[in-house]
Amino acid sequence: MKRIANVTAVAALCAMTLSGPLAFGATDKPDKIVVTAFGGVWAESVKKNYASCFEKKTGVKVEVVTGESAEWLNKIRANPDHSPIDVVTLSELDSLRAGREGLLSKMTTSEVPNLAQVPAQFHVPWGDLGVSSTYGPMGIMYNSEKISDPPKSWKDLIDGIAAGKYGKKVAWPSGTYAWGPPFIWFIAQQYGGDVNVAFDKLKAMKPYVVKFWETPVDALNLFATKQVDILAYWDGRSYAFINKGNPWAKFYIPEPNGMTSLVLFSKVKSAPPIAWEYINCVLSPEAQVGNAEMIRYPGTNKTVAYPADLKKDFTPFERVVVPPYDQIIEKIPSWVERWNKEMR
Amino acid sequence: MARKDRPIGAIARAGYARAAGLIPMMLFLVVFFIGPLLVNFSQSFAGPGTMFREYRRIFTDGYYLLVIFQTVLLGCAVTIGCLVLGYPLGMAIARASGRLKAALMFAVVAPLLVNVVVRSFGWMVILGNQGVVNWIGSALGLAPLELMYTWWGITIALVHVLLPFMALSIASVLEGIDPRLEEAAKVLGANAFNALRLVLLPLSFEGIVTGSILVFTATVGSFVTIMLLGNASTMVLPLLIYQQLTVVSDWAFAAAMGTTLLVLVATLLWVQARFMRPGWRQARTV
Amino acid sequence: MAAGAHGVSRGLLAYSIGIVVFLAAPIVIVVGVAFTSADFVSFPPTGVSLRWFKRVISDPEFLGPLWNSAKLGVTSTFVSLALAVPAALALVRHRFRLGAAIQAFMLSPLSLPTIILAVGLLFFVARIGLAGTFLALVAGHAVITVPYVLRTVLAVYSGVNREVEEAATVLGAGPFRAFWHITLPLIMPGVLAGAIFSFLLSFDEVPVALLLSAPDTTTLPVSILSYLVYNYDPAVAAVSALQVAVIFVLLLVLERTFGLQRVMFTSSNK
Repeated sequence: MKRIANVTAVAALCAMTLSGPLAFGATDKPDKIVVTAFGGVWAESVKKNYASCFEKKTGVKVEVVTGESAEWLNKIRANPDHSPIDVVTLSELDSLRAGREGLLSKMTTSEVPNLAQVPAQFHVPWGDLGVSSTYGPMGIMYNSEKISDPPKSWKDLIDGIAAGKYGKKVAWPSGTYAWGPPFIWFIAQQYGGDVNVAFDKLKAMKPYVVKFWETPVDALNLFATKQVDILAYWDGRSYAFINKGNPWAKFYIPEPNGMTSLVLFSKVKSAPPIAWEYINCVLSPEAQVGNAEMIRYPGTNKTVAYPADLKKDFTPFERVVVPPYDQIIEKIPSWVERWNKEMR
Repeated sequence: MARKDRPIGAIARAGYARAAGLIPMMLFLVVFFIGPLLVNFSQSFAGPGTMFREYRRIFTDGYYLLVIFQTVLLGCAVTIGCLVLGYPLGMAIARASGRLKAALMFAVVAPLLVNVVVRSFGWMVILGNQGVVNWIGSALGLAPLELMYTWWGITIALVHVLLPFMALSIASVLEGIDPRLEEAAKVLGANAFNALRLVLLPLSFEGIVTGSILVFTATVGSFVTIMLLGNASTMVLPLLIYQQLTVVSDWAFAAAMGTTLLVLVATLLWVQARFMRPGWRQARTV
Repeated sequence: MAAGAHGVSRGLLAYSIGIVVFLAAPIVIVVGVAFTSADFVSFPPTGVSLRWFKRVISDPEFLGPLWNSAKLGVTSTFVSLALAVPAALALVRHRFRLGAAIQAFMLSPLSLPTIILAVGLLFFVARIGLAGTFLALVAGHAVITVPYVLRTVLAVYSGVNREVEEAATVLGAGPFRAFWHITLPLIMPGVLAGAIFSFLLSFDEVPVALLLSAPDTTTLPVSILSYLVYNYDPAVAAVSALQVAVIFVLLLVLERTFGLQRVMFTSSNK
């Protein structure tokens, strides 16, 4: 009896779920588009700033899906003709991969007028298949009660750590973190560009690093519980921490600049053309300011003017460097393997 | 047995009905397990280079072989830990009733209800250098223990979360054992230890095997706890697979590693099934 | 007298208390963090407040997925039971020539890391047209949990005296009645253990749920994980504390209404 009931239940479930709407016609207005966002405050900002802008302009509903870049990339790969996602936010590397696999649509200023306001470094390296809405460099966050003379440059920091200047109270991104390999490239840049030097420096730092972190939350946990006095960390997240009642923590971008992370918005090839309007909303001045206020990362639209209290935390374009992902991407398998083998 | 050669009508029919009970699960697994397995299997040959390149990368590189070894070793350590801690717990659960039983079952199941990342942060508080363990240790005058980012800390955390699989497997088998057997042994002069060794352990053997299989395979497939409580020196195969699928985006290599692990563990399971048939229904006499 | 009710000896009781302390330790910390009044994770908590619980209870980002996880857990558990219980019975009864191989095959999902299974499932279900469906999620979870049920029922059933079942059949009971009235009560401890494992595994499962979910079928651990990628605050500790509290209440209710010697685990060999 139990078994018959189960079979009926499963059959009913089949009928219900398979009869749901799966794809929209290319020419009619769809009843909704599906967009991605990272969880928590990011998703809130997306709903408040981007989704409402799009819904007002087009009358089409926006469904926000939270998760991570790798997951979304795989979902699109598995369903190229009926992608479950219309506008996707991929990491720099995943965006390159998706582009090379022909999964994304190229954008021009006719579909996305606001693209003209975005500096080239935030979309041209991806062949205009994706554009970043924000940028956020990695800098140094430190405990000002323990460290009174923070290092001026990245080189000073790295050499200082390796010399034991801060004791065993350092945290650093792992080479196997999503932005680990680009950060290895960045370290190499401080010493003339040789990746072998970067690995040597990392090995020298190792005795003083409590944890090479794989997820930012892990790093913040170490810093907040005072197990670590100084760490390389993202600016938006650092300011979020500092502004939540932790004035003992300070953040800055050392010389010469900071490596940035980008969030690349792309329209998936099988998505309806109306989805372009969403990307245009994302790059619009109002949405850029609204988003910056919520997640505290500056936007890429160069015409936007931010209120003074926000502006003081933002790093100007000139102090930010975008790693050459199209060159790094081939090297990643070997760098990750080197990390696993040499850093244990 | 004579009965098997000449089945009596109704019993034979009932027998065939029960044999057919295998079919739904086999069919289900063929579709929803073999299907995805074949997808992965074919991917493991689809990488750039020659067909067996990904497998060669694993088997000709001492590093990957070491990681496989470490993974299996961790599986054994956690299984033994769960067995030692879980058997008495299983006995307690089986023998308890009412509120005590409810309390024990709740306690044993609760760790699984806490999200793995949150649980790991909890362990950091306990095992860290300024954590609870070391605080107690220093109060007792002991030297500080380095438990974070070591195999010890990882083993403790995994035993903690996998204990229910061992304890409940053993408890469910112990429940079915007639308590009069143990009483009879005691009446005949066996002390508690011998009663355990000669009566309970053989009868609950299937429960021990079940618990061990479930704990071992769960350990060998886990990576989040290891990622958070370990570092580059505590590498296991599932964590490598995760890296390959996310940062490196090399599905072929990940699929080869997954297939390798599958074949390794499935072989161990087959050996276990082949040489440890169920049927130890009699307690051993001295 | 229910089986095993000759009680827990003093030594065993002391041991159990020790184990419970070990099991509870990280959970106490998590619950402590959940009650903090601070904006950030801190232990010991800097102040006591219910704000994180309030935030979590009212947040659709957690509530919807919680309901999805419960639905998915119950459905996949029933499917696992339906598939694995008959299979376990068949395996014990019949000494199939390839019995060991069949058992190893049926347990083999245990040997495949779920993350690789998840990727394979994603592309496989897309190919058979079930992408993003609840059915695919249930199937994915059932693949993972079915070996657990098989194994626990197998363990209990192999110790059972089958002559009682044969007697029932000889006396005229059809196979279904024999199962329902004789076999099922005998294997109940194994069925319940398997069901508990199945539900807990499904409720906590991430890789398959991550890749096979559609916007309306996101599960709780997946939404917790995506929250954690960018947010470091006690909300997630509050969610975990709530999960523990719900099960605590559930077990309390079960104990009060049924008295756990009758519902959980007991085989009626008296």
